[in-house]
Amino acid sequence: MSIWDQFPNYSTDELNLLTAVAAETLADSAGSQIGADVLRISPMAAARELEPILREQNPNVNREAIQEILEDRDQGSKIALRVLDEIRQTPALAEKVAEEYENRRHAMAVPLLLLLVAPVVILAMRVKSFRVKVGKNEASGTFEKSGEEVKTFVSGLVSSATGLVP
Amino acid sequence: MAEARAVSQLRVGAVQYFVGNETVHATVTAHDGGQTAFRLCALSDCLWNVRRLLDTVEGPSSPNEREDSLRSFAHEWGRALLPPYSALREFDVLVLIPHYILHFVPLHAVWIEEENAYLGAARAVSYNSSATQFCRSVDRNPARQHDLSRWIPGAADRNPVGAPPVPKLCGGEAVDVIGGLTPAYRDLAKSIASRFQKSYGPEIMRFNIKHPYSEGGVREPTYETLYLISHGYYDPVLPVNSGLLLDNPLGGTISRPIRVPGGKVVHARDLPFRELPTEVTPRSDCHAEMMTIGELQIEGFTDTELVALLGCSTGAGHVLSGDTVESIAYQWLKLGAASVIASLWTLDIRFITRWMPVFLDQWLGCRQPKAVAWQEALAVILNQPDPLPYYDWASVQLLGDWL
Repeated sequence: MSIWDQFPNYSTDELNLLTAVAAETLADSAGSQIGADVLRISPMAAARELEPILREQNPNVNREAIQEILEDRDQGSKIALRVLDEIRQTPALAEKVAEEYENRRHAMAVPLLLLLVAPVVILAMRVKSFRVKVGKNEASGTFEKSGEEVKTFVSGLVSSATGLVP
Repeated sequence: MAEARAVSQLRVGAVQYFVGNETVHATVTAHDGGQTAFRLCALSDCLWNVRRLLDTVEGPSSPNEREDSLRSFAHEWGRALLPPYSALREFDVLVLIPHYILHFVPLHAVWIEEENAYLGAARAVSYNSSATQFCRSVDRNPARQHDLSRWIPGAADRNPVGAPPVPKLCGGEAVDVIGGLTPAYRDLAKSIASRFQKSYGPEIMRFNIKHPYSEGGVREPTYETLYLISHGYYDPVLPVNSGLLLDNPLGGTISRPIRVPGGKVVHARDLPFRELPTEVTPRSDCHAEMMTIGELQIEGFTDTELVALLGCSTGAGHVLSGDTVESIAYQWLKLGAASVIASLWTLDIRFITRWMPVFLDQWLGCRQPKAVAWQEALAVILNQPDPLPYYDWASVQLLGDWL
């Protein structure tokens, strides 16, 4: 049974771990396109980076509003699930994330405290193409269209949550 | 195959580090007391690399980043943190005494080009926080009461000769208080317990460690080996609150008898030393609580030969004055254990389930010294056809006495 089978009905621990694994997989799959430092990005720094991207769709969006959304557990969960949905619809990436999730489940650690929504949303928008190794096979593909979908979703979420109508 | 030699003939060397303001030094002390000092590298050359490595293995990072970081350490810059090969070649066993930030660096994962092997597979290695702590571990080790010149460890094709009695009694606890991995934890516990003549579960183990003062005032001996298989938790803000998530079968904190004037005995209970971490939601069918460093600083004793702390980050900690390391692993050494097995960062239950039986067979079956058993187990695991990630194997350390 794959972790995708229960999408989108995840417990807090499952969503935190799956989001972290998705971010890590996206970072690795992008090769040298993106440094893995993005995994340690704070919501404030992420908001600074997202502001010009989201302004393409809504000129009224501001940094504070984006940061607020990224730090809000409920809004963050919605964004994480949207990114996960895009990954779920990309078979090679979905399989790789499921494999890594299974690996991480065997760590003798406590669950993650935070939902790493800032890294995963940045990565979803920045990763244009990916290459992953699932088992012994390699697969590649594009993620650009998914990134656009995520961008539209986040922009809409910021607009509706803050009343910053385009 | 190791040659048949008495344990007393093993050549033991100590490498004691000093991280100065500008330079990293190491002094190699040989079995005969001869010492040689080496200037290893400029601090500025290694500090950034060490910080980067530790951030990667301990914090958020991707699998590729962790592997790249550990590979770069093992095959490139990490070699500068060891004395020259000519100074290490003669030794069978290395007692490493790191300093400052080096306490958390897996020096056993450095590749030794001259031997085509990682240090941990080429030499038996044990880590110690200071020379004093090493001496205390040595003094407490029951195996040291034996005549080492008669002790010839065995191998696959020969039995051990003249070895000290095999530890017979083990106690431990295997619990996944969060759920999901309970069968895996129990299987590992069964595998460990099956190698001893007698083994006890958490009730007696916990009692003996945490309740050493009976009303009669006599301390009972504890187990010869202890294992704790559980989720580990490192608190970077308050490291003294780090520890292991266990099930307390006594259903609450332990009652302590206190004799008051007049001969009466009153029973007092300590409060738990900390709440569970926020992110932990325990299973409803267990009494989850944390065994923390702070708690063991207040009470606990053991005279066991080995404590296996099989959980995440049991070797992680921070450095106090006098180069004392505050970690759950070193706390067990301070309580009286001769040696401890711990993990510097995340531990994978599948890896340790493969590694631990090999180690125990070498230690208990062949009667190899623990560090040699650790070395042999690592060599066997690394010799498998599918290469293991560094992140899985490089985290496991043996601390305290190597014997």
